Amino acid sequence: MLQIDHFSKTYPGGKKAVDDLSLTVNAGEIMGFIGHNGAGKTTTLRCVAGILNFTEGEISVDGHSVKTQPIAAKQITAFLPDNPDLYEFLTGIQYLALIADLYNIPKEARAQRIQKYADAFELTGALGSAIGSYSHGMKQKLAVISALMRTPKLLILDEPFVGLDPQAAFVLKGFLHELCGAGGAVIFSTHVLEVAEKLCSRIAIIQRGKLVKIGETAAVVGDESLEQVFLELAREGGTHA
Amino acid sequence: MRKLWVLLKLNFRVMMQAFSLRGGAGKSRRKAASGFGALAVMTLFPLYLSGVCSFSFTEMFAEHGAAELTLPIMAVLACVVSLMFTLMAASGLVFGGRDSDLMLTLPVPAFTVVLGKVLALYLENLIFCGLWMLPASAAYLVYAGLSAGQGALFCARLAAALPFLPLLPSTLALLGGWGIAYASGRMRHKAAVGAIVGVIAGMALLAGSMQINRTLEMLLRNVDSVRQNLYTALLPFGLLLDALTGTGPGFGLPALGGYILIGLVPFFALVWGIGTQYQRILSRLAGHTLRGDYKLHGVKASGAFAALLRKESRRYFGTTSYVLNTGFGAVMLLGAAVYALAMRGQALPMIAALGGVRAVMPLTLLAVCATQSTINPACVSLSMEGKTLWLLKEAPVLPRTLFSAKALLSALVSAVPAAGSVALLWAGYAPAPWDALGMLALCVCFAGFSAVFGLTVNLLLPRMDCDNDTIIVKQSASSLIGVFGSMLTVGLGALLWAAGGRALGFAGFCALAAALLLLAAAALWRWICGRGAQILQAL
Repeated sequence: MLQIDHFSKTYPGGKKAVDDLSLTVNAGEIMGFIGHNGAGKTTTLRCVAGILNFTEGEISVDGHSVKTQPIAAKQITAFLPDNPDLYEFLTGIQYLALIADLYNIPKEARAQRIQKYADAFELTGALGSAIGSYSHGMKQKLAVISALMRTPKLLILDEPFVGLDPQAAFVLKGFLHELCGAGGAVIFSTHVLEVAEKLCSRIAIIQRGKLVKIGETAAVVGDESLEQVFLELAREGGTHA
Repeated sequence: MRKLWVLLKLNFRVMMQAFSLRGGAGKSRRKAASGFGALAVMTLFPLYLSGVCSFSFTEMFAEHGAAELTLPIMAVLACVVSLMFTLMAASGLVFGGRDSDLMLTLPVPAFTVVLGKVLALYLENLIFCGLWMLPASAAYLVYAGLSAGQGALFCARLAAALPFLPLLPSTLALLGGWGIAYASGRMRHKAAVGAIVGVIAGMALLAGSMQINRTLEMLLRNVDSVRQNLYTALLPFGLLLDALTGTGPGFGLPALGGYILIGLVPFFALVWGIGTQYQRILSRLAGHTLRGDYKLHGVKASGAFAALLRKESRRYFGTTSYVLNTGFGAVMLLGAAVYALAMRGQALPMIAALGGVRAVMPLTLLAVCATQSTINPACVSLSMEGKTLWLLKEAPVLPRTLFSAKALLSALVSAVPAAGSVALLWAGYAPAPWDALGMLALCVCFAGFSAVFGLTVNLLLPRMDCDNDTIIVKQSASSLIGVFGSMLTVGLGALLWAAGGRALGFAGFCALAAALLLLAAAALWRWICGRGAQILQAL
């Protein structure tokens, strides 16, 4: 579903955030993308979502190149940033209608999907209020709903559980499994290694912009915990997690 | 004191940051040139306007042996114009900044926080008033026939008095900003209330400044009454005059003391008063009504373009500072047209004396287009996306679609009131149909050109990291260049008319100018969809 080949990203000023990264996320997989602060996780995810441009390497979503076919790639992708800044002058329902319009979600399907996800996250009653009046967690929930209602083939999440209460986090995990069961794929970054270990079918660990470990979660973790693996890799790489 | 200094530096940096060109796209030399251009416009604007007024006023006053009256008159105008510029800024900077939470958690008294913010406003006014009073003082020195010693004494007094002149507009702007914040904090639709209060305040200010002109004409006929007025309704300015030119015992020092007190006391009293209520005001403003009884019945559907246009429209009309700073011209256009219609009986004989309706059509067109050039939401529409730009970059829409929505809203906000005002003038003054149609077409084309031009400027000079909407719309480089660039286009049109365009007749000239504007807009649009799309992706 997601194919990243020899992808590098250098920011103006010469800082190389990601260096020759290659990985694949297959349909039905949930991949955890792990690394210390500044390792290049968010940069990679934002490039996959088409938010940041890049010159080196190739990224494709379901065969659509993010570089040369951005509209087709974006149409089947949903991205949730770590701290979603939403349009505070819109109400929740206006925001969801805007997203539905931008992603050409049919009229009948949009109401049904909004109802399903908003009810699950207990946000339906607040949809008529301005986003500016929402708490951080409510904004996070609204952003999750707007991502899920697109029924994307690839869901990209940057620290999705930050700000969500335990119940909403549980609901979200259920929907991630549902999406993968329907043939979609999920890649998400997190610092909560226990969540990654339990939720992900595969793990990728990135350090200083380079991929240092990737594989099935069980194979990566082995007899240790993911936390121990991560800390050992950090020590070998001379960085502090 | 140290904390106040730190806050003052911070707030002034926030205000001046809008001119900074970091974070934009394009070559740094070009960006630097554009930035200096914006600063040059900011500097030249008061110098030019004040220069023209000061020398003509002083010449007239000098004929009556009262050249010194230029000083208080120009000081009054400096305060009025400063107030016009900073009224909305006061509301946005002091009560609308996104740093309110941080400020309230600091171990600093609210008085110091408010003072730090208001002093930043004061510094901006000081720069403007200083530039404004420079030509006025030069004109006085030229016409008053002072000796070298007297001239030097005048300059010293001016240097002592000038820092206190901006206190008055700063106090009034703070009071007005407080009023806007207070009113909107008590209403459900805060943005709408803020916009309405702002429009009323702006119109009152405009009406007041018109009265100053009338008063000036009236007082020129009787210089003695000018002096009397300076010591009644305009007492601070009378004291300023005495402080600058006084020759009695004390050489104007008592007057200078009185003038300083009249500026300082209300300023600090107001800052103290607001300081005591600051947390309460901000809490009320930050309070939102979150309802939990929404029931989903169905969601309307439309295309991507319509959705983006609707979103732009909601942001525009839902953001008080945005609509007031870039849309006040629309109110002025419609207000002036309604006024012209109401005063038709008195205006028609004057128009006949000037050669009839056809003779005043070019001037009317110039006035309409000049006002239209102040209506340009597009020149900050990308900057207004700020941290929400990721939503648009992530969406499966072409940059062209996004740009179209932004440009169309801007064009509509300018074209609709312009067309409305032309229609009202057409109904009231019955110009030749071809002339009216030509004017209508030109106004609509100018609205389209301004929108595309504004978008181009904003792509070249984006400001994506500013935390205060008011600063983006009021004094970012793209805002200034967008508006003054459009004004320059109007000036070029006037030159074209004077240089031989009139030979085509009014309707013919309008058709030619409209065609030229459309060509220019098409060229800019081509650039926007090509290079502009790359710039957007790189933001």
